[in-house]
Amino acid sequence: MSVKVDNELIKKLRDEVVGRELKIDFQRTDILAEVYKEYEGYPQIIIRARFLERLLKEKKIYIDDYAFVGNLAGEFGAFYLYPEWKNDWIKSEDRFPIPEEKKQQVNELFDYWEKRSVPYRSFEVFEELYGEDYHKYSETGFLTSVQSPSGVSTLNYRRAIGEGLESLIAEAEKNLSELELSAENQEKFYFYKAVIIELKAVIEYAHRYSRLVEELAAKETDPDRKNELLTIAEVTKHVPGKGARSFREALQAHLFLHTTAQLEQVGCGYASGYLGQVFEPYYQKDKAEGKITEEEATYLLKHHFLKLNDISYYYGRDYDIMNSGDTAQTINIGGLTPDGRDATGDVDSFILDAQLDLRLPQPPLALVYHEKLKPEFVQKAVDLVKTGIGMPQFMNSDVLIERSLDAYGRYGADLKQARRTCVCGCVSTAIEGKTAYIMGPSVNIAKAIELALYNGVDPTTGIQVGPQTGDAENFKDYEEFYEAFKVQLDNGIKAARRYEKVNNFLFSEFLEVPYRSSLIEGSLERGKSIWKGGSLYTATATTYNGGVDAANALVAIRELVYNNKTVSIAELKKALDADFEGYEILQRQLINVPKHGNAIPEVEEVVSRVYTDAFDAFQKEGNNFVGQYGKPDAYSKSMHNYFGRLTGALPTGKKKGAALTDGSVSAQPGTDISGPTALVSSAALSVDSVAYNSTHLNVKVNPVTLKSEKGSAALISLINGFVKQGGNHIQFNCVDAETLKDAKLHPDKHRDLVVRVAGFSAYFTKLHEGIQDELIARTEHELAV
Amino acid sequence: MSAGKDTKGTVINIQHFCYNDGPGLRTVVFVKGCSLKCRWCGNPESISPVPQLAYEKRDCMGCDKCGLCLRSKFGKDYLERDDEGVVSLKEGAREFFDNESIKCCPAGALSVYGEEKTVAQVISEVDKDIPYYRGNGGGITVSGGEPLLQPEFTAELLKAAHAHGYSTAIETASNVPWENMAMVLPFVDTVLHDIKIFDTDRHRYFTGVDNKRILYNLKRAYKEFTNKTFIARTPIIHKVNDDDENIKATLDFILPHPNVVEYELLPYHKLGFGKYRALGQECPSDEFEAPSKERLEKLREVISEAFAYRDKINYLRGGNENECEGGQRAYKEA
Repeated sequence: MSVKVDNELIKKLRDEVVGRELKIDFQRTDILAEVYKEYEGYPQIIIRARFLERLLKEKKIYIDDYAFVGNLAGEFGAFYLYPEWKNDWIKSEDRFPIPEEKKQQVNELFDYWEKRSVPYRSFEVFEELYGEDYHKYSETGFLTSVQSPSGVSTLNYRRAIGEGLESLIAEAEKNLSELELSAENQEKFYFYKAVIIELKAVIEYAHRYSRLVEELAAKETDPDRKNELLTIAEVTKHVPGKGARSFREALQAHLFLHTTAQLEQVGCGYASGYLGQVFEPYYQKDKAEGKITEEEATYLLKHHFLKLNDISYYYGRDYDIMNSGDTAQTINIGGLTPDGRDATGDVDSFILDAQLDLRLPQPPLALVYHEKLKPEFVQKAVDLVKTGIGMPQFMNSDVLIERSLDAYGRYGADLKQARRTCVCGCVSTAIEGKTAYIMGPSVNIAKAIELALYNGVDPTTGIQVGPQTGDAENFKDYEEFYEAFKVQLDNGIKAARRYEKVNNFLFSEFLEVPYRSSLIEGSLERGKSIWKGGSLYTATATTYNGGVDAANALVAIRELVYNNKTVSIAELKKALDADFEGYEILQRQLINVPKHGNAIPEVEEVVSRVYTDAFDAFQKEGNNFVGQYGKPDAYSKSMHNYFGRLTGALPTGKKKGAALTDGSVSAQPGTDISGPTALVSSAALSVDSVAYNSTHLNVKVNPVTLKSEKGSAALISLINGFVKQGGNHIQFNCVDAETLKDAKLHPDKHRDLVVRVAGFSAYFTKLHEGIQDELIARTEHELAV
Repeated sequence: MSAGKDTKGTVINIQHFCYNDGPGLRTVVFVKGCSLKCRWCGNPESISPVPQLAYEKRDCMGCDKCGLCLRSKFGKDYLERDDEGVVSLKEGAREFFDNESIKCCPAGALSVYGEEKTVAQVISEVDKDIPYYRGNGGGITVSGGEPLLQPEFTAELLKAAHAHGYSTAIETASNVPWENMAMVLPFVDTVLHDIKIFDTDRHRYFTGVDNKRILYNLKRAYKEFTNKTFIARTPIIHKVNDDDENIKATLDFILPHPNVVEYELLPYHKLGFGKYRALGQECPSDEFEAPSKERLEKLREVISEAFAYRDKINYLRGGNENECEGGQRAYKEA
């Protein structure tokens, strides 16, 4: 079963993936319409199971040049439609126009789901239960409305790959056979039935590939290719039904299991836990038996990664702005073993090697960072940072462990389990294979500033969103203003939590996910899907955005309105209404007020206060839909851009429609002017990253910084400093020449851009034009190396 | 002790996250005032010992949109609107500005280089970087300008830094009275010192002063402060000091002293030229340029071979407390 390393092939496959043009594959919707008609009247969990079964049985499959088989859709570069998960976009869609002959069917299907889908019904149920129209929150950009189709959670790949799906089926069958038929057990009965239908279908799906490959092999004349095809046939006969026997089988099993979850529901956040460590024993065994080399293992990983990059989805433009098409199939590396040793394996290192070569968006790598990591491994991670792809993200192992103990210790999680906490999605964390996520909306904290200024009315739309907290012009002091802000924020968070529960209520009513549930620990034992609390632990993904913008606005108001009396609230509102046209001085003064990211205690305590109050507001609404303790998340993805477009001018100097601050403890663009250490300290200290389920810092670094050995060492010192201060998640963006060019044209947006050359550092925008050009040229040159 | 922490110095700025100015990650305090006037100087704001007004016309928002400075006390006497509708400086503006009026400029077009700060103020800013020093030997570096021209301030600052557990370094041109050096060096762990040009006449031509005092100070410092680490540096400029003779003479001078552990060449750059304009001064001529990459590599090779040879000889001789002849012979034999 030897592997022939073909780097030309990798190059070709990479070009194909990068250059692919997305297109719709209608087969999923065809089958969806068919199965829902055929099984009308059956419990919905059974319909869901029959649907997945049919899809796996009939979906178009194909063989290409990859060492592995199995794709999400039936064609390279294609994506399926998921109208049952999100259907509010198709009618106004112009990016992927529906061909004439498909229009009627697709429209009918989307109409059918409109009445039965979560977004539509959620408004209705929300109004029924709470007596207010949720549209006012979503249309003003305070909260998001769309339920986020998302896979945030990690499946228990260790077991599924190691024992094979037959073992899970056996467990389900055993539990089903022992089930006494009773009203109480009715749901369990259907759950087990659904799981068995689906898992069997996945095994049969792999066998379809096996047969197809055998047919091709019989016709193949090239002996090498024939051999390769026969290998694939052998592998797919075995996995994922039975436990993997080799490194190659483990990778193939993962691809089957991983893509199947996304046939049930696709979206952002199907992270794979510490996948390299799942593969590690197979690699070690193969290596010991002389069946594989480091080079071959890395080569196979590249095939695997390239396939992950072809997984695509599309839910319309709005969703695209929020998520930028990201699939966040994060792989965790590093971390600790359950007994507290460094868990990093050889495969973790190959994963870095593979991305050093491929430099593709998927899979994002999360390095769970601790002091026991080997220096050479950390150095390799820094080498990857230097490529400018922003990977890996560095996660503080201590914080992750403490956080999981805080959230799940009350439900039995112990230290051993907590040490397997990983990124599940792109930023959030959970215990690998044991935690399910239920989705909630996102909250735009900065909107509460607007509402406090305008007595609960959104200034852009004129909609009364929040309670009337009074005319801000009459507030006596800063504290009174803050109080109004807090009332508005509390009200928004309350609505968000309620909407989160409505969403989950509806998910479990309409859209069960038995397959995914069966692969998360707890569900098979409890006989319940994850929407109903089947998994051992259930986290809540209600995310906060714009916290830093709100805090910066509060500081600016405190300083300029109440302390220095530079401007009155009335005047400030006029400036905001005018989007600072004619109020350029005030805009500059607002920008000049000290901002988050400069390690100024008087500023950071405001950031901290905002996040603490937002946390408390979250907890006021109690546990999540399945009754477990939830924590808010603070990260933006591309949501800061989405919300920014719906937010007017802010007292931070932000213009109407401009993006909010990214991450959750990053600095407002151009305002962290005290260097990286101040930014990193501010980020680490301004939010309780154990209490929160996530916080996120992006740091911009000039590639020149990282070029030298000393530069790498400095970067590691920066990470260490962040971690020691309790920071959670730090990630580096190397600033490329394009940014420098933009900085030259728009210096205001890039005031914080520091460039370093031979011991001398300077703010880029302060440099002479000619020198700027020189640096642009130099940076381009150095990036090309 | 508290009197010590009240000692004041004139500081240009404090830069964090530096890694080319001593061991580990460093916080560099730039102080104002220099006793050299190098023709290629990239930091013109560091030469005068007193605060200076800087005006960057490019950043002015224009008098129609703003005009705040024109209405200030200082602006009424010393600033005016020019033909392009932006602010320009009148006679005397650079002598008689007051800090408060300058602060009103929202665009940062008007600013001041240099501010008086106490040791306590500076150290509290440095303290913010504590988490980044651990494990890498990082700490504070006082640079300039010339830190040894404010010896009380620099000594007190470094003393305080030691008390906080940070490693200390200075970057100096050493053109100061020996007493200044003797006052500060006891509190320095690493001395990064320039030897800009070895030949005295050339040194005088290019920097305004000869290098006799510099070389005297250095030699004495090497001998009297044997437990300190010295790193020699040359800002390397084509046709000024990148000739073999200059590098070899410098090596000759430093190699006998085992506490000089490194000799760095810092290629010349023009990054600071914008500051001349802001200070209303003329830019140095364009005649200076960095040596070619190949030339630089060649010189660095000569240096590293010489050091390797010295270390080998030293090792064979069982190490010498203060002087070693190996170094002197190093490049001759190489």
